[in-house]
This record gives sequence, structure tokens and C-alpha cells, in this order.
Amino acid sequence: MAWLTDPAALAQMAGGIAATVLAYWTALRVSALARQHPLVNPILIAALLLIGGLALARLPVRGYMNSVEPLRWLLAPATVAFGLPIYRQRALILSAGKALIGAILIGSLAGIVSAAALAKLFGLSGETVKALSTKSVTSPFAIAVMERMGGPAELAAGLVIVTGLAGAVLLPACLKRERDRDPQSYALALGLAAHIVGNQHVARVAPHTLSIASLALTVAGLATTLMLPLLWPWIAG
Amino acid sequence: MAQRFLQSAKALLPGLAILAALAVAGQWASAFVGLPGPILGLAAYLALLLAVPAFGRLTQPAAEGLLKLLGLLITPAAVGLMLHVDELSGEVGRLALVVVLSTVATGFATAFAYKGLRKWLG
Repeated sequence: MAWLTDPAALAQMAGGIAATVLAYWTALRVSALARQHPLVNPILIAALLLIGGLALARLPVRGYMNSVEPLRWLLAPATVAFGLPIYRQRALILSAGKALIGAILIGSLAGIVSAAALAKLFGLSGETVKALSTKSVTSPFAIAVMERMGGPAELAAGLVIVTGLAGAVLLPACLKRERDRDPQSYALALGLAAHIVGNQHVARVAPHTLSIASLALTVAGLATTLMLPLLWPWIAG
Repeated sequence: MAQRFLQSAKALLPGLAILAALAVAGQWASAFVGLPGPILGLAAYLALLLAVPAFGRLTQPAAEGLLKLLGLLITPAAVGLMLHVDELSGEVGRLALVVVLSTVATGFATAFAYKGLRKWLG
């Protein structure tokens, strides 16, 4: 906790957080102007603004990452907060529970197997194959699983975000029919394949189905945590 | 203006304190259970809501606020990927292809598994 008494570190922290808030606020405005078009994803735009800004100012990415540490602390209570949308839709979850849980298990397995099999097929390095195997679960799960299995945790966390962005940009176009006619399937697919970014997309375009996306994110995380050790010999082999 | 800010802060604080306490408790318990701390915190929050519905009203402003902020909170992780550009430089194209194909396949598998299971289970 040395940074608490170090004015330079505190100033850097305030600067990093202020820049992130400003970039994200700008990205939200741009996204609203584009009428929430999936291609204009606010997280993607905010990240590009920050990367561009850091490059222009010749500031190191590592220093920026250290300065925004407090935002990462908030990620844990924010994950806990997913309990509320799940609680609110408990009637729906109980009535369609078996189909929902079954689909989430199938989706999680599809996420692990498709990522590792394609990565092996394209001849990616062993570490990259391992990091890709957790791409369909949200960061806290991916980091915890990687640390337990001895895989590359930081790289896995980065690929989780890229996966979320890819899913939130591509799946709305691929599942256009579902979005209009079967919003539950749409929310489930986005919540599972694009986890937090998908949830954030669902919260903006179809808030009444957010509980389903949250359920997909949580249960898929649990399912992957339990399934991955069984598949690990094949993934790492 | 200042009064309105104080009022909304007062509505947020109990919820924030409870959610943070649950996150910390989850982190502590994760050493024994082997599941990620935030997820144990989520399970505990859900159990609390089911046992004591009044918790819903108490924590609602903070929970909704945090969920709205989620995009902001994960933006740094996307920026952090720049730290791995060097080690991935040889495989960026293939990596992107794997992410895109696998993510679309996962989304389709999930959506159509749900449609099929819903019909099959009635």
C-alpha cells in the first residue's frame, strides 16, 4: 500500500481513471449516435481511444494498467451484482430450468472444444491453445482456472475480452432472426459466447432478457471450471 | 444539486458495502472451495436475496449501478492486450480466425441447443 502515501502514484492513478472514464463516456456517446449498432461497441471504441492516446503521449501501457487498478477492484462486487437480475427472473429460470441449464452445458463444451480444436488445426503454439480454451468464460473464471491448471492467465484474460468483443459484434448479425423472434435464445447465446461484453450488449438492446444472459455467464463459468480439468490432457497434449 | 448527490450516495452506500463485503468473503472462501471468489460472492448474494427479500431493495441501486458500469470496468483489460502483441506477432491472423470461428460456433450451438431442448422437454 505504498502508493497511498505517494502523491505521484496517486496523481497517476487519478489520471488513468479519468482518462478511462472520459474515453468510455465518449464511446457511449458515439455508440448512441450510431443507434447502438453492434459494430460501434463502446468497449471497443474506448479501448481504441485509450491505446491511441497512450501511443500519442508516448506513455507505457504497463503504467496505465497499474494506474487503473482500482477499476479492477470494482469488478469483483460487479460480478456479485449479477445475483440481482438472476433473482428477479427466478420464476422463468425455474420454469425453463432444464432446457436453460442443458443448453448452457452444451454451449460451454462447444466453446472449449471448438477453440482448442481450431487452434490445434491452425498450428498455434501450445500456450496459445491453453489460453484459448477458457475464451468462452468471463475473466474471473478464466484467471482462476488458468492459475489452477498452470496455463497463461494474463493472456487468457486478454483473449476473453477479444472473444467478448468478437461475439458482441458478430453474433447480432448471425442471430438476427433470434433477436426479433426468440429473444431468450439470443440473450442466452450472447451471454454465453460473449460473456460480460455480451451481457452489456443485451443490457442495452434487450434489458428484459438480461437475467438469461447473466445466468448463461455464471453457469457457463461454473461448468467450464468443472469440465476443463477433464479435457486438460487433450488441450495441453 | 449537492443535496440530490448526497441522497443518491446515501442510497448507493449500503448496497455497495454489502456487495463489497460479499466479494471479499467470496475471495476468502475461494481458498477452501476451489471456485473463483466473485462467483462464490454471487452465489451468497443470490442465497441472501432468496432468504431475505428485503435485501433486494437495499442493494438494488448499487447492483444496478455496478452492472451499468461493467463496460467501463473491463475496458482496461482490452487495453492490456497490447502488452501481448509481441509474443503473438507470428500468429495474430490465425488467432483472430480461431476466435471468430469458435465464438460464432459457440453462439449458434447455445441458441439452437436451447431451442431444441425447449421443444424436446416441452
